Amino acid sequence: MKWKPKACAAGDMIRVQLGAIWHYGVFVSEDEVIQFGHPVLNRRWLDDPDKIRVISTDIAAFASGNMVEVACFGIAERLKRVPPEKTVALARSRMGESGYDLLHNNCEHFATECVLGDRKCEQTERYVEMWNHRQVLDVYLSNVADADTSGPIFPPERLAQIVDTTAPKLKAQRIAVWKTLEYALLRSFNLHMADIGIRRTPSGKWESDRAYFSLSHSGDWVAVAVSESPVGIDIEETIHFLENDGVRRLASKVYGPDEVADDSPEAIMRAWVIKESCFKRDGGESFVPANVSMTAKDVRYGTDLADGQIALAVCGRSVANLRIYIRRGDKTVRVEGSELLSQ
Amino acid sequence: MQLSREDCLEKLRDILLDMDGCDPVAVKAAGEGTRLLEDLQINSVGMLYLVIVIEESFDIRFENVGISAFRTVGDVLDYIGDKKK
Repeated sequence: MKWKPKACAAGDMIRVQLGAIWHYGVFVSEDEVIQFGHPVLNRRWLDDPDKIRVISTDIAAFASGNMVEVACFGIAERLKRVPPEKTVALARSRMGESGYDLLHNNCEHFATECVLGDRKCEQTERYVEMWNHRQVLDVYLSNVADADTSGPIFPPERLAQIVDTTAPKLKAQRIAVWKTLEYALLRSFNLHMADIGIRRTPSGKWESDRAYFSLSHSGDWVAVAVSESPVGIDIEETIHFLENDGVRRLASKVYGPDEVADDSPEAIMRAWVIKESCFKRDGGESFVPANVSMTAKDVRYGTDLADGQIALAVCGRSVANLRIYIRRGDKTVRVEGSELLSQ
Repeated sequence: MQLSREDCLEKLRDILLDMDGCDPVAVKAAGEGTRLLEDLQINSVGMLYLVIVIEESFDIRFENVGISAFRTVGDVLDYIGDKKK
């Protein structure tokens, strides 16, 4: 649907911009424009929706000094358009009607129903669309001992995997990371684990059609990243790299032939964690660090979270909007994580 | 699993930070008693957009509520809590 400032005919859908919003009506004649309320004529329209009625004004009152635009329909809309005389009759039959609802039954719903036969509000739909497509990358970090592990584990395949885990520490990590994921999906996307078709791929990775997520655990910590686009996260306990005499030997395995092989423990740790996060985001058969490039710009890395106990890297298209939360029991605190992680 | 009131408050803060026009410092400090208009400078149209986003983010539907029914952050949390029951 396009909008043009042009002469109106009976049965046209028309609109006018009043401040930040558009007001819609059905044109009958210069003396008769039928509309659901009027934001200027009813100054307190937002406060008292019960008083708003379908009314008729002349075109000057409708426009309130602004330019009126007329809806011009595409082929699909022309096919379903209600004949103009029926539109006028329908609009007139609803004069005095109440039940205004700013979001679900407003002037645009009224006008589209009279003219096209279905109720729509593009203003709301456009904003919802915009909101739902905003870039999100949220990281949730929890200490295994602090994790809120109450409630059942879903789906049964994950529960079976946990039950089959004999090593107590790994079992605790798997429970904690899964419950943290459950919370993260609810908190960031209002998604319930049972509703997202969560499944395990043949390669052992868990995935869903409704959101992208990535899991990691190391030592006493678990981390979950959720995003609207593919995402990878990796955490490693720093102690394994910084207090391990043999770590320098890893250099030949971590770096690719074209990379500068800095063999300091800090650099090896950084390379490892970044590369694993990128691998998790991009997928693949098995993680061979030397085959994973470190040049991706959509990575953040840091070691200042969790009192320096872990190194964390997260990789995803929406990393510029990174938010980090620390979970302690059933309490969640947002940290100014973007400063703690750098490119 | 359900979000606690504290979680909802934190989520509301995140929503406000993602929306245009709110002072981030005021939003980060916002508590239950923070006034939407006077303290956060959310006008009626901003409130409309906030309601749309809350519906999406909390999976609830606002039923014909006058925008000025919400004076403080706590009022919004009360409404979300009632709807989630």
